[in-house]
Amino acid sequence: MKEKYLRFIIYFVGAICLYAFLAVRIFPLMNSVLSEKMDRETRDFNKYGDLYYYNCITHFKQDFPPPLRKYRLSEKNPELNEADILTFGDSFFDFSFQTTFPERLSDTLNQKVYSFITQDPTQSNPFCILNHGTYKKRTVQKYVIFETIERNIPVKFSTGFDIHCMNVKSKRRIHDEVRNFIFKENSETVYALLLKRGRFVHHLYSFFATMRFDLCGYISPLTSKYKLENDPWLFYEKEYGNEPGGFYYQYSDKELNTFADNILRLSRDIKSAYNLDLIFMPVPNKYTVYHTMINNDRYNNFLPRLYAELDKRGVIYINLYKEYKSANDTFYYGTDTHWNKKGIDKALQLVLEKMHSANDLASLEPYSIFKGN
Amino acid sequence: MLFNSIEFFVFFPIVVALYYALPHKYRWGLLLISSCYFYMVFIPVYILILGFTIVIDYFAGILLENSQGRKRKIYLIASIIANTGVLAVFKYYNFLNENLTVLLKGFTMENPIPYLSILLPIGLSFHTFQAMSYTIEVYRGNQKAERNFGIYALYVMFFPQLVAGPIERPQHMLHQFHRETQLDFLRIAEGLKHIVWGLFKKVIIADRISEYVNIVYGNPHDYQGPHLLMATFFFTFQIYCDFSGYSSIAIGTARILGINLMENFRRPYLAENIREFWQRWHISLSTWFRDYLYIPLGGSKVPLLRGFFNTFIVFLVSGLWHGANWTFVIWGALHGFYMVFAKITQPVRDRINAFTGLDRLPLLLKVVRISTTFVLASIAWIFFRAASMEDAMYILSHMFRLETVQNLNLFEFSVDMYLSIVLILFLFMVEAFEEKLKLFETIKLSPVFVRWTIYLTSIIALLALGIWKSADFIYFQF
Repeated sequence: MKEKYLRFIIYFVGAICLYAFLAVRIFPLMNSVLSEKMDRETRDFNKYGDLYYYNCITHFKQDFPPPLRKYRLSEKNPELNEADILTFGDSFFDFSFQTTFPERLSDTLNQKVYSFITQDPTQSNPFCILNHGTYKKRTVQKYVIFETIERNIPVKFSTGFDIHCMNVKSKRRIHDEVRNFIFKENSETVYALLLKRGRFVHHLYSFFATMRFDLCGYISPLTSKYKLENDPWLFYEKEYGNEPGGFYYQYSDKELNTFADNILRLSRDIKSAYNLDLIFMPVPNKYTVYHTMINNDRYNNFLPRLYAELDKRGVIYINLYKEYKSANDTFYYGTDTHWNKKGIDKALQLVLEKMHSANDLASLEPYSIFKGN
Repeated sequence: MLFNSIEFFVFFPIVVALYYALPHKYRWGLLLISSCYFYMVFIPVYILILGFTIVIDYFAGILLENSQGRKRKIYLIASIIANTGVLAVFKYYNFLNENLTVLLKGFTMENPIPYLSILLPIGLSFHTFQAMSYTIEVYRGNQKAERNFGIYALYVMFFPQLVAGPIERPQHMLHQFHRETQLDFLRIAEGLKHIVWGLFKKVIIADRISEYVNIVYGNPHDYQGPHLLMATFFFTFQIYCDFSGYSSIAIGTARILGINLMENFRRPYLAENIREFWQRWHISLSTWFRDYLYIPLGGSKVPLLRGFFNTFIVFLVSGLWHGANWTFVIWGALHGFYMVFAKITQPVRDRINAFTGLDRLPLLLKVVRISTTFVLASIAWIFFRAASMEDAMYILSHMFRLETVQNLNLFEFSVDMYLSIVLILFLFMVEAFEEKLKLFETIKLSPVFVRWTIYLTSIIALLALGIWKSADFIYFQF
């Protein structure tokens, strides 16, 4: 009798594990057992802040407004050649808890704003998109806004972008696909996701995560800097690490010059190849702006130093760091890495001012309307 | 695939379910495929290296059995050269080349031999030694050559012990793959208990204290006496919990599949001398060296000085087996020195014990001996853990400088540090009870309510206190 039950338990557990094994490899199987469904196209969770999902500690669980349809996936996002303004960015331009920056820009100026988003900093070469999409060089001057989070600047600008790039993303060969199916890349992360968000286990996971936090102060190393008093705040590890892109990394002058040179090169190349005027918009890391909530550590001064180098080279950029630091307001979400509506408002205002100061958009009515807001 | 990863907790139940669902004749096939998968998760292409030695040793075994006289020796030597050749290329080539560069530099010459840009295949030293024990045992006539290629491959690749042992012997292992395993509740319960105890040592103790050890040993020059002392003390337990934790999980998973692996650790820090320490620490390796190196060298049945030399050589090789770095060689040499020194000073120490009256206080004598052995082992671990000889010498020369103790602010320690100390004490108590009272047997015989309370508490402790970050096991690098 004992053996019969044991056999049943072994088969039952085996079947569950087999399902999990397949689920991390087959998206619909995965999605069907998640407590919150992932967006099929973006693979995002949208109910709470992204930093909450790293640790699942209930103290950091804050409801967010329902997500909006992503602009880049909507019919409003024009074809490359139809666009009046082009934007290339990362998740800051794609964050769907509020109307995204490209959409706001489009609505404000009543212009067609093209949006290309990539989360992978190694895939952010705009020439790959422009060349691949056979973008036509115009005689009319147009703007291209290149947005990047501060922590990714070293990855993106340690070397220059290849102006002749044609591949959007090299397609993987069949045997690579098969290999990846069998020996799934990052499987541990996907299993962890299944455990954290699985319909039948997420409460248990969250319970233990919260208990560990309460008892011993354990929290995911990805969000180990946090604040609990009043509103909870979490920070992302890559923003406060010692690695390039992090708050404590000490950049040499040579590194700064390299980044600035490569940004300048992008600006020149994109102008000569496509007659596009680059507006470079580095978005400060959340930790850079709000680390004083936790400590008084000294910032490595990366952004001010980079701005100084960009000034020397005549690159047009948006100084969000100064605005965010000096304003007596909160521009980021507490439990998410991204900016909030006020953060976008400020960025939009500065971009429009920059365009305006270039006397190119002075006549546009929407700008004055926006200013009035 | 790591035993403390979610991936393993998904993989293993699937294997178990399929194993007991399949008829006996297909089970070895399932285990072989599972083992290949387990290994290929690390770096798929390295399975070819394993495949190479498996093919060589499989045929070497058959040839050894079918031939007579001098030919047998040739086949054995060929097999040993093939196995050690793989080790030499992947593990020692760059180390030797590096030393050659330094040597030639002394003569103001340049080393023309290029360095190899290769990663060390995981667990290479373990499965190479296991494979070698097969051909040696066939040569000695203690084991019949395995005719089923798949089962021989499984002997080398059996996933629970593939990457960090225990290093098994063919006489103990091979026949178990032929034997039909019945589903047995007690055996599975036993296996699960080993797994839970192994995970306790790994994710609750070893991975917790490793954070402090890594910080101090990462930059030892930034720290003074008390921190160096504490980090060394912690590392002594980290390495034990890490490696014996792995072995417990390996033994447990194998047992669930009906395979008994040999015991690899027997409470080594309760040893009363270094000799006993090696009878309790990494038993499968020390017995391997005993059987295939020490005894063939003549063992102890040789003149005294030659015996010392044999002992020293075995420990030197053991150090080199662990890693291609002088720190490992020194670690091995130090243990060799301890053994020889202990043998030489035995009569003097006996006289001191008699003179001080210690021999009339057996309990106190035992405590003194255990403590001394522990300190000696800990000092040797410094060389094992330090990144370089320079770091090791710095730690050794600064760790006892207690004048810096006033700089140690105990309040700056995190809760984790105190918890680590409590957990080490807990481990020590469990081991002491197990040594005397067979604690695990007692639990097994206790009422259901008591047993299940202990089991559930252990699982909750694992979930609540475990450092679940899929940290590598230290011995994987060997």
